[in-house]
Amino acid sequence: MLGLVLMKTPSKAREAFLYLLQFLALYVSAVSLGTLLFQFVNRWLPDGFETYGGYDPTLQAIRFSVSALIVTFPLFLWMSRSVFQFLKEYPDRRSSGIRQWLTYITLFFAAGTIMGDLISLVNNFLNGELTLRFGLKVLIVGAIASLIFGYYLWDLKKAEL
Amino acid sequence: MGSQKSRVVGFLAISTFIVVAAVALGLYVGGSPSMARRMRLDEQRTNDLRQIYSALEQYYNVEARYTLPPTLEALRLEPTSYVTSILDPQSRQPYVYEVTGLESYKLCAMFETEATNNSLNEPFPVFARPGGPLLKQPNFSNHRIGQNCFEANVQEWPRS
Repeated sequence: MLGLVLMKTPSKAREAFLYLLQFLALYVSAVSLGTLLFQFVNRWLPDGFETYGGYDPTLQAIRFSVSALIVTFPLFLWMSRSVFQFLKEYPDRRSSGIRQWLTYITLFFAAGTIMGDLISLVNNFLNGELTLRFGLKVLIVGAIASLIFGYYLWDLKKAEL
Repeated sequence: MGSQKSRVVGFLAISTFIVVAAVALGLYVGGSPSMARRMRLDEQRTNDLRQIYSALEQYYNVEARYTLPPTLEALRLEPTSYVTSILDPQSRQPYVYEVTGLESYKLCAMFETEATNNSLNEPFPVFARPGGPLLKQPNFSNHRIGQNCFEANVQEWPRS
């Protein structure tokens, strides 16, 4: 009976599927959330360029990112739940290759985003173009990327303990 | 283990809260689907009127004819003019076009949404010819619900 429990190993393909779908949903959600928040900034702090031509591109972008979030964010929550249950069933898979790879790739993207965010912040500061509108966008990108980075770094450390 | 689980739940709870708030605001700002459709139709009407405006100027000046077409149908059939549609996208009725003078006319369309503070869309006035009078395209993106008429005029282009 004990031997049977120890021999119980999950299929690698299933594990890969769970993580790939979870991270895909996470990436699409994060980008859509950023796009949506950017549009709120664009609407409430207009710079006088975007509505030229009688056509408001922020409304189109708002509807698209809302659609993306409605589909992908619940999927991300659902996949997180599936991963949580999977890890409860197979606690030793916490340090599995696929999990570590995808977590590190996510850390890489989040860190790269924060890097680009800070570069544009410094660049705009040096060019004397630091406006509230721009500052809020830097803050939005920085907050989303940091939240993801912080969480997955902690998640990784937990597995390595 | 208990604090670890609460941290996972905490991350998911914070992100859920942010996403739900953003989506709710997005749905509110984005308006209802029927409103979105009406706004798109009005955008189409605005674009059509702009195109007709440009085509009329072209028609007036081509081959130094210096007359306005009698009807929009005549304008549409003119080989040198580029007009995608002279029909309202919803009712499929032609836009109202009325010649009011040698160089002036009136264009009307039925709009379904209100857009009266599009001051940013104000077209820049242009000189019809060097030293000539300022020619200004009506702001077709400013409209009330219902029939809206725009007074406009054509002008002679400079001869090279």
